[in-house]
Amino acid sequence: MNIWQIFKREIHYIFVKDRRRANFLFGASIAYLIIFGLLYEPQVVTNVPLVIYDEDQSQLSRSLVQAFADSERFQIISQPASQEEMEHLLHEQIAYAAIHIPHDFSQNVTAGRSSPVLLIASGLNLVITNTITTATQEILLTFNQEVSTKLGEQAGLPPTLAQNKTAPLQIALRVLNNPTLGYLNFFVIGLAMAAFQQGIFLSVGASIISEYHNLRDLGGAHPVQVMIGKLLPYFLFATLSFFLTLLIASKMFHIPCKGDLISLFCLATAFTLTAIGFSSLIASFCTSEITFTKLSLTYSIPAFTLSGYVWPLASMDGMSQLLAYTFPLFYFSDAVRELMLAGYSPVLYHNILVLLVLGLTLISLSTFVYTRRRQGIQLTGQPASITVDPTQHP
Amino acid sequence: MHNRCATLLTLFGIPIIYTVLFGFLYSANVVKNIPLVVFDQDQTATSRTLVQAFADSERYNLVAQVSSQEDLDDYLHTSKAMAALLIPPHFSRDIKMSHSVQALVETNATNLMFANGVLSSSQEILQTFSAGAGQKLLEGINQPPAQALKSAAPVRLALRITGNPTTSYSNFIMAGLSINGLQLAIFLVSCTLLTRDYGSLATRRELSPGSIILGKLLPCWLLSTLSGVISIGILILYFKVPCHGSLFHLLLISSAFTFAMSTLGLFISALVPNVLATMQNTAIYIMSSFLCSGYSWPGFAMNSFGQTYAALVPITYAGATIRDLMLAGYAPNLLRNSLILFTFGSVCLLLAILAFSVRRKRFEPQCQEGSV
Repeated sequence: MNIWQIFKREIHYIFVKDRRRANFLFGASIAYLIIFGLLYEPQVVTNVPLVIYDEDQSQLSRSLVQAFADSERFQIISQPASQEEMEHLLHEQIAYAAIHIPHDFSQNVTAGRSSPVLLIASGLNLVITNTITTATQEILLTFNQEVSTKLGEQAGLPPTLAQNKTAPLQIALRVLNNPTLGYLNFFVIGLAMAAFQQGIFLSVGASIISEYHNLRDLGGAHPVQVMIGKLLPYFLFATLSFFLTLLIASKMFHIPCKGDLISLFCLATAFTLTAIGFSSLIASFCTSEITFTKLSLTYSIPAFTLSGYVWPLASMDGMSQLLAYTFPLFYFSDAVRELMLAGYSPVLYHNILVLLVLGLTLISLSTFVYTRRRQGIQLTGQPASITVDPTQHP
Repeated sequence: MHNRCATLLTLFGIPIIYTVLFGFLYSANVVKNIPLVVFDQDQTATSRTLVQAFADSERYNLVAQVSSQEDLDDYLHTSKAMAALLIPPHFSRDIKMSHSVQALVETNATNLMFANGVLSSSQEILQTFSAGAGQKLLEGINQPPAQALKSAAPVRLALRITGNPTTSYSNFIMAGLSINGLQLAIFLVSCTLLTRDYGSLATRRELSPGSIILGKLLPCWLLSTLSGVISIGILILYFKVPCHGSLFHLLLISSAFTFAMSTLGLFISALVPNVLATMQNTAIYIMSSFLCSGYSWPGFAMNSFGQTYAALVPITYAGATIRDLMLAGYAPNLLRNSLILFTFGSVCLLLAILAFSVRRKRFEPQCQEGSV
């Protein structure tokens, strides 16, 4: 068989004889994209259950309560009448945040004495904690400015001057690339790319292991021809699957795609090459597809967690950094997100180069292992197939 | 023998490896040393005080002070800096003259870990600085210092964070990741328990389906519970994740979870004839369940799809409960969640027995033909 015939045979396998491979290639990343796209569709955490224990019950304290009620970040679920009731609501996780306004709040503020407002936030889930602390700071900043301006006016300052004297520094925040701090934009692309890698692993693994079970089938072809003919369809369809995933992300979930197609194409092909090389090499050492699937599933969670996509490389310890450098996803997922959200990735060329070198090395090694295994069979005259695990096909 | 070793390795290896691997990964606890670039167009004592306030914060690592907007943009563009502080010209003079002054903080939000850190810490620093500057201005119009500070910041925020006061990322995430590893290990083992030797089990007519299923379930359930206990033990003893809850409560919810997962795997194993197909077809459910469980993205912020999906995965009832028990010493839904998991497990167990009985009846004629 020549390359073209092996190529056609592999396509036949992908779409007719073993359709699982097509499902992995096209289904994994799209399924993840849809599941997590729907999950993170609200983008930001809103309506955090809040209780306010207003001991003061003055006009000023009610205006502070109103400021929290007006924020979409909070939902005031109760205004307890005692500290015990407030703490009970927190303890039972009916509320995740509580504000305690002391009884002399208004009196102290009007008399020019600084008055504390106590915020109790549950620290159990940091996503909620971050929302509570950031939103409360914003609300209190605005409230403080209004109150201190009034105090300045009472001290005889004109309104504008009063504001500038009491809060002389205005803070302007500019959030680049993901201005709404949306979780969907931040998270979902990386998860889809982790599944994309998994899809490549499972389909290529199935192909390579089935080939090892029937080594004599392509015995007449040169090993390099076999590997190119077999792996090329996965390379092409995986690249197509990548762009389909991005298309759905962009059109269905409105995730911005600012990067140019050429950069995305180069990065995707370099990563696909590496993922194919990685999986074909690992599959060469697995006796059954079950073992390979177990390894692949076990690998997928550390691969994503250590890819630097969420927890940045600079905050990892030395061992984790070292491990991260060996994972192909490290050079891919973050760069894809940067290309999508920012339109550029400063590490694009570096990552493409690393992935290409890694990919070509892994595919060469995989071809070498295939050649040796085939030579071994020809020399020893062993049966053409490796023992197949009977549980796969009962 | 080989199969037993592989099973034990899976059941104990995955949760322990995950616990150790991620324990080291998140050992820094919070994202610190965020690279910061400063463009100080004022270059006065006041502006340098503000720069110093950022430099003194452990959240930031001042990587450069640039002299043009282009340089600042370049640092952000090339990700050499993830945050930028821009101080306008006449900053000090405008503050003294009580003109409105604006300091700009920019952050690259492609990774929200950086953006959230910058947003919370920069606001704190700038508010403290603003209150201090306001105090001096009010002192300038003859208010006494203490009075001036109170007028500049009349409402102070006293913040108390319960459960995880240092907002440690490791304390927050580690229990969940360990349980996720345990879930994967149980799934990989339990979904192959029946399929692997269905034929031989079907011929053993002296054993009732219930005793076969229970015989398969008990070792898996007990060993996986032990594996979970070891993982949590490593978290507490080695990675110093606090554990304020009672060990009995932890054991209750852990065993309920391992029971639910083991029986779910057994049910799938009794139902689907092919180990590989079982593993691959249910992988998406297992792999996505942790993130959909409400452990990080809260249930009240989910849409109906998320809430429905979360309700269907066992880890929803165990992950956050175990974390709450460890960090707060108390989980309000402990009994409810344990009950749900035991009920879920019991239903899966009954379904597994039913599916096994039906399939064994189909095997019997084949076996009899074979023996003739």
